Amino acid sequence: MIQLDHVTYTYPQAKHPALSDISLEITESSLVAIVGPSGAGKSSLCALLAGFIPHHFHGILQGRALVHGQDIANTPLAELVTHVGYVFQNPFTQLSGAKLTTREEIAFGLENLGVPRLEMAERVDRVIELFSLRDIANRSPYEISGGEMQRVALASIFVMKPRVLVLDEPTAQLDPLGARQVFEAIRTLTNTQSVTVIIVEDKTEWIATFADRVITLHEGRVVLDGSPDAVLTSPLLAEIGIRVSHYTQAARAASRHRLWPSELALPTTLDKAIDGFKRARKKYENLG
Amino acid sequence: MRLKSDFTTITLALIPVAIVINIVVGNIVQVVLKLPIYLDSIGTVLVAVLAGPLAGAVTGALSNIIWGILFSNPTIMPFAITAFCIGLVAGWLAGRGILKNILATIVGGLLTGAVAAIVSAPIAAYIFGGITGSGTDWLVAFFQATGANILQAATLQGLISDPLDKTISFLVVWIILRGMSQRYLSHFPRANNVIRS
Amino acid sequence: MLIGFSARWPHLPVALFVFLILPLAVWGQLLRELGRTTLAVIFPFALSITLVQGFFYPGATHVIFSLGPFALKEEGLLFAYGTLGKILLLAGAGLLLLFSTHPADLILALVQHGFPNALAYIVVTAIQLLPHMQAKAMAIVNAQRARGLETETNLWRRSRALLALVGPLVFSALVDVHERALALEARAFSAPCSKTSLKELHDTREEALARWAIIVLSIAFIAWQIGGL
Repeated sequence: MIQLDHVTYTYPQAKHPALSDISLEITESSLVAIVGPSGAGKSSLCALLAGFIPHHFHGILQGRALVHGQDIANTPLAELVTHVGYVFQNPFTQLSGAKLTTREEIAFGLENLGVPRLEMAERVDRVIELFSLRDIANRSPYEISGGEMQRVALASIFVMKPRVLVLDEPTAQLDPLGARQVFEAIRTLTNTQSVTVIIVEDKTEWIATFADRVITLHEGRVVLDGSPDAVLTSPLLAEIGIRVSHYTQAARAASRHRLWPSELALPTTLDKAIDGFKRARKKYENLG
Repeated sequence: MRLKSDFTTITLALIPVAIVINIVVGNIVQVVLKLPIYLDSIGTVLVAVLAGPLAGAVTGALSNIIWGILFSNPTIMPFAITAFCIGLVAGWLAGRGILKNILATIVGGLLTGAVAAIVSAPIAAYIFGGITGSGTDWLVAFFQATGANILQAATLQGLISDPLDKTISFLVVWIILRGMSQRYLSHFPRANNVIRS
Repeated sequence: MLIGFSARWPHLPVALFVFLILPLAVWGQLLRELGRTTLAVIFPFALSITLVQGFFYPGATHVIFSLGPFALKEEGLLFAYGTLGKILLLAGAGLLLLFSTHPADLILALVQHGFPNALAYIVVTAIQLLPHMQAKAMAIVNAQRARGLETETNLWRRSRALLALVGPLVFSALVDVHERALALEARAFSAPCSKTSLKELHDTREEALARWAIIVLSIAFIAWQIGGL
C-alpha cells in the first residue's frame, strides 16, 4: 500500500533535508504510530503521504514514494486525496466554513467529488452513525466542542473512503475529554473498517495499547521500526528526547534494583506493569 | 493579465479571510476609533497584490455586499462597483511593482484613491443625490454652494477623502507583507509582486 | 420561502412602489422588522439630503424659507424627496430580500443557476468567520487598552492606535490561510469535476412564474421610462 524508497526531501530554501533516506513499507490495514522529538520530520512524513509534499510545498524530493501503486510526485493532488485522507491538528481551521450544519460539512468532500445526491446522503448518514454524531448532525460546526469538531473532521475525511488515513497529532489541541473522544473514534474506525491509520502522537500509553506498529523518527531518519513493545521500551527513546511511558520508566528503575523479573520485557502499559510486579512479588515470596 | 489561474485553492482560502478583514477593520476604524477614514479595503488590496486584479476585485465587491447583508444596510451595496475597481487597479499596480518600495506604494495609494473617487461619484450622485449620510456631506454642500453641480461636488468630495484612505490602506498592506516570510508568500499566485529577489 | 427576488428601480414614480414593498412585507410577516430597519437606514440620508440639497441644490431659485444667508429652495426639496424615494425603495427591497431569504440559500440558488461554486464557499465562509474575527479584534483592542493604548482621546493618539490594532489582527488572520487551503485540498476542493450538492432548494412553479413576471415587467417599465425621456 505505502512504499517509500530512499526518500529524501528538502523544503525550499532550507539548508538541511526534512526527510533523509527513508525507506518504509506499510502493507496491511493497521494502526501505525509515528513518534519522534519535535523537528524529527513527523509532519513532513505525513505531508508527503498526503501528497502536500511535493504538490503544495514544492522543494526537492528524491527517491520513490508510492501509495497504492500511484507515484505521489506524479499524481495530481486532487486524485491523491481520494486515496489518502488527512486530519489536521487544529479543529477550527480544518472546518470548511462553507457549511451551516455538521451533516453538510461532512458531505463537503463528496460534493466536491461530484457524488450523486442520493449516494452522498447515504454515505454521510452511515458515517454519522459510525462516529455517533447524530446528536450534533444539525448543529453548526462552529458551535460544537473541539473533540466533536475533530470527530466531525474524521468523519468528513473518512466518508470519502480513503484507504489510508493520516492523522497529524489530532488531539494536541484538545482537552482530555475531547482527546478521549477522538481516540475512541479512531478505535471504532480501526476495529470496524479496513483502513490503514497512520497517526502521529506522543501519548505513548495509548500507542502502546492500540498501535500495531511504531516508527520512530529522528532528524529526518527512521531510527526504530517495530512492535510497540519493542520500540517503546528501547533505551534509544530517552536519548533522542522522547517521553517514555511512566510504566516503562518505573519498571526500568525497578529492574536496576532487581525488583523486576529479568526474563520479562519492560512494560508499556499499566496492565503489563501490574502483571510484571505481581510476578516479581511471587518470586520473592517463593524465595523467602 | 487577468488569468483564471489566479484562483488557486489558496487564493480561494484567502478571499473570505480578506473579506472579513475588510469588514472588521473597517468597523474598528469607523466605529471604535472613529477616525475620518473608511479603511475597509485592506483585504481587497492584499488579495489584489497576492492573487491578481480579478481576485482583488471580487474580494472588494463581495466585501461590500456581505457588509450590506450582515449589517442590514443595502444602501452600501451599489458601491460594490467602486470596491471592484479598487481591486482591479491595485492588482494592476502591484503587477507593475508598485509595492516594491514605500514611495511607490504611496503613489499607488493616491492613484487608486483617485480612481475610487471618480467611480463612486456617479453612483453617489445618481442614486443617492450626492449624499452618503456621513460627515463628509458638508463638503458636498460646500462645493455645490460654490457653483458645482451634484456630480462635480460628489467627485470633489471623493477626491479629498478617498486618496488619503487608500494610501493608508496601501501602506498598511505594505507593512504587513514585509513582515511575512518569503516561504509563506511564495504559495500565492502573484507572489512575485512582493518577493524580494 | 425561498424566492429569487429582483426588484428593479424605475426612475420616476418611485414613491408608488412603496405600495408594492410594504404589502409584501406584511404578507411575509416582516413588516415590523422591515419598517424599523428601513427607517434606521434611511434616517441619516433623510437628514443629510434634506439639508444639503434643500439648501444647496445647484441652479435652484424658488426660495421657500430663508435663514440668514441660507435659503431653502423648492427644487432642492423636490429633488431630495425624489431621491429619498429612490433610496427608500432600494433599502426596502433590499431588506425585504435579506429578511426573507437566508444568505446561504440565496447563494445556493445563484450557484444552482450557474454561478461558480467558489462563490458559495467564499460568501458563506466569510459570513461564518466574521464573528470569530470580531471577537479576536475586540480581544486585541482590550489587550492593547490594558497596555495603555488610547482609543478615545485625540485624533493623533487614535491614529497611532490604528496600527497596534490592525497589525496583529491581520497577521493572525493570515497565518491560518495556509492551513485552510490544505484542509480544502484534503476535501478535494480542487477536483476538476462538476460539483453536486447535498442540500436541495425547492423551487415551486408559482415562485418561478412570479420571478419571470417580475423580470419581464421591470424590463418593460424601464424601457418605457427610457423611451419616454
